[in-house]
Amino acid sequence: MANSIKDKIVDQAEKGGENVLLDVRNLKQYFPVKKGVLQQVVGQVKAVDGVSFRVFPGETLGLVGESGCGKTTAGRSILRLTDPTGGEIIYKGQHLEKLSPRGMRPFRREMQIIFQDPYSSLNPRMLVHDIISEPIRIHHLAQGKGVEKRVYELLDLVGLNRKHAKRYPHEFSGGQRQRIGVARALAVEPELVICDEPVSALDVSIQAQIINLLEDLQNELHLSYIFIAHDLSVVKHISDRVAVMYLGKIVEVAASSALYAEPKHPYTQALLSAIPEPQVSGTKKQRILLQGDVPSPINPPAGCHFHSRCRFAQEICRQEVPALRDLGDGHLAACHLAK
Amino acid sequence: MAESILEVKDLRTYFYTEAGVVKAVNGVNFRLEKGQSLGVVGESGSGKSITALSIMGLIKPPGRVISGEIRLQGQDLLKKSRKELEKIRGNDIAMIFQDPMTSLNPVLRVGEQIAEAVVLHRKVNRKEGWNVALEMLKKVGIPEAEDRIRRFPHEMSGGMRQRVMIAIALSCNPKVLIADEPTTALDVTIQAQILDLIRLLQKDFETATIMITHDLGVVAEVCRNVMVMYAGQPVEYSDVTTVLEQPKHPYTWGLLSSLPKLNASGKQRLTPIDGMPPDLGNLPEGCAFAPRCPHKKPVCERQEPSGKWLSPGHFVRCHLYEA
Amino acid sequence: MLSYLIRRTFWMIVTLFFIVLIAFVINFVVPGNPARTIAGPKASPEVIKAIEEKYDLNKPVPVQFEHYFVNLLHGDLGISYRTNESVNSELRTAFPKTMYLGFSVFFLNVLIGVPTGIYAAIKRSKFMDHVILISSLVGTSAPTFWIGYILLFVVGYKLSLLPIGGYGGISHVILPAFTVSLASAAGYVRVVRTSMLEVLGTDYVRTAEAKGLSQSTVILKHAFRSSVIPLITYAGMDLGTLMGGLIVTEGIFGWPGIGQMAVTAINYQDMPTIMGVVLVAAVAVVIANFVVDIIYALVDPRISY
Repeated sequence: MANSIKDKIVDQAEKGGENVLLDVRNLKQYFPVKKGVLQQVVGQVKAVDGVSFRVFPGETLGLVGESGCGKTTAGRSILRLTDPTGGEIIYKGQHLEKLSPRGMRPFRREMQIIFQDPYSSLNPRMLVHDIISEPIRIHHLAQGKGVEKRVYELLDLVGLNRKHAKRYPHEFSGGQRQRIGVARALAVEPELVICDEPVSALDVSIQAQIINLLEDLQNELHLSYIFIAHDLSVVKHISDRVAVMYLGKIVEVAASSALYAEPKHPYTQALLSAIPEPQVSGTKKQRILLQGDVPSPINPPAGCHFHSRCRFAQEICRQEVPALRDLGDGHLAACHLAK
Repeated sequence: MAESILEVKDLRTYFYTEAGVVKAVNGVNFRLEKGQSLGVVGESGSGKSITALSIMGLIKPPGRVISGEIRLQGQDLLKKSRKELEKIRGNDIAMIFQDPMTSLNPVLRVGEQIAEAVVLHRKVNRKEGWNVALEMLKKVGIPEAEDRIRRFPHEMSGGMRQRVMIAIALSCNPKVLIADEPTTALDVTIQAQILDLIRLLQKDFETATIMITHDLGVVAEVCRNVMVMYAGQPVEYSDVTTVLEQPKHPYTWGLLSSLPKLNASGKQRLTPIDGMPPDLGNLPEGCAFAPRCPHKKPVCERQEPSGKWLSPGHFVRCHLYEA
Repeated sequence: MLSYLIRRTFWMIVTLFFIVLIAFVINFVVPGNPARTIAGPKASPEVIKAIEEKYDLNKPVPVQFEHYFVNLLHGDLGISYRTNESVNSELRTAFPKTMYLGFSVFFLNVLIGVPTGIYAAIKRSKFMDHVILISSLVGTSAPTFWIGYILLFVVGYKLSLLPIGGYGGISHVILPAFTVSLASAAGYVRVVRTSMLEVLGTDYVRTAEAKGLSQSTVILKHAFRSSVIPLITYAGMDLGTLMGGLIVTEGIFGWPGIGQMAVTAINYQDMPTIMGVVLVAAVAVVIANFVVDIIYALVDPRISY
């Protein structure tokens, strides 16, 4: 692994370098809640509520959090699969948030997504060849024999057999299907790939194969990833930097090693301590048990969204929303008390 | 040796499908002692859940338990009639399932779903059944139990529903509790709560527990012994420390090295197991793991390893240790 | 819930208005002059003119509609061209008879369809399941009038077990009810079977079995209750077809309900009566669907409006 390059990226990210691939500013994605005779909007599900982060070329930004924290929604609204309620999405200096579907088209080629469920994200009635070649044709990236050649290249790239091109998705195992999904995403030579829980449905031994594949492809093709997952060990392994989300907001962002070694936000601390580790002897970490469930995103607690479950909560936490502050070395946390 | 509660001998459960015979469980042996906690680990298709359902007597056609013994305190469950099994299920052996979102009946109140088992097995009236249900809800840590007992499952979160499932399972004080991936569908912080609860109740109820999971971390948290399964067979069995720290089977090595480590410093490449799990309808000759095994010898592809006790508590099924 | 009911009622009224409008317009699309039909083939032009005058038939269609609609709002469905009696009073006699037959059919549907469907689901892929599936296919495909005449001939005439027609008590209602029910109960069987199979495969049924509950408790208490919802949907959708079946069957068995009324009225181009029947049938179907939606919420705690 080219550690020096990676270190440089993290370094650059922390210093707020110029070379930004994707700059998401104050992104909001609300979904209305309707009620009553005339179906008035009585509330908003604030799935993503003011999220800001940057992605640098060649890096992997991990986006973690528990179900309902908004990580998947954030990924989708960046790609404009849903229309964001507010905020800015700046890709290579261009604003995407206001573009028409037509205006989005060239960017669709550069930004791709890999989905969680390799079983339902591939059309069961299409041959693998057609699944992979469709985006090539749509974006006119190759003609005639060239299409076929490209499909074969892609199959080689993701470690599938060329014979597999003439088969249907149901003939493959979960891991192989995820490889097909990766090949389809890479068919249009994207620069940024949003990986939405790409390995959560897979068994550990297969999961490791796909993680290695994603890492190899990143090095080979100089891809940038936004890696969305709930499995903190996987995210730590693959990410250069990690952003932790809770109830629609980012609560902490830092270089992967720093975040896991020294989590600053009480939520991140609890989250990390909750992971069961496959080891018996040695120093057992102190578990911080969070009480209760995540509150509803329709009516999140005032002030810091986490205060209702936070063991350090004070008066200020109940009243003021904490800003994401730099605590040094590019380690950001949204907590009034973090130092 | 302590008193054995449950003993499974050479259990085989096959599914007779149109495509052929699928050997989902293919010779499983283990013993469970009073109050013991056994982790059953393996990937999908390893036969761990089918083993559990076989013990519960819940295998449906085209599946069938074709041979073996399942002895609960000496009595072979495979020789029992349906009526006799109904008296044992939920009473002596209880089970918790993976997905709390779908495992509770959506149209019945939570209280009723706990109480009906109590009414059935303890021969009490409905009112007393509900009283036990309330007590159980409090024991599994559900706040405002008096109110929640009258609720429907959809009005509760996943973690709460799994607590209800645990309450149902423990309501008749079973001797054996089988938990099939009880925290897989839950978020980590909720998983931590549920694992804590299971550990606590294990002590309280002195129930012997079989914890089925794919997560070695979960095993490390709650189990004393571990059985690693592959392609319908146990490949390694020992106490949890040995399995996690000095495993002997190449598959167990592979599982451990596939896992991204939280405490690893710097970037290390994962070492996955090559290839895919075998087709259970068309198992290879010899060792089922041989096609993926980096240490395979010629004998591995010809002959099935019979398994060997390396020490009194450590079983491995691998040719590397068979002389 | 209340706001849902209000919204729902509003749309019900809109639906009914369009039904009235469309039914009204169709009367003018069909060829023939109602006045001539009323007066008879030998009537003089003066008589026809007088009749047109009497029933407003010489006015433009929109005016006629307005006239009809205003009366309708006062609850007056007009006077039958044929009998010169108020349509309201004719419907008042005929409609309960159709309801009587309709409820008998529904009762039979549930009585036949639900247990058979459950039984087929339990015996999935076994011999009896196939027998039931094939019979239900025959049941749905056989035309109602054909079933009606066969039953009439065999049971009523050859065996003389039951009256061959006319209105009366249980013995009179059995044959026509069976005629309509054979077709629609077959649908019930298949819906119950399918939804039972689905529910029997769910995790919560497995949980119920794991508690040690007996097979009958698992099926009746845990499985059937949740599988009722698709059945309710089907029953609601089936109502329109049921209405059609009733009209045909009333004709065969001489059952003096609104079906008979409609058939006679169409032959005489008796517009007020046709309109009355259409309206009553439409109201019945719309209300029944409304009831179905409310039953949903009662059966399934997850549904709230």
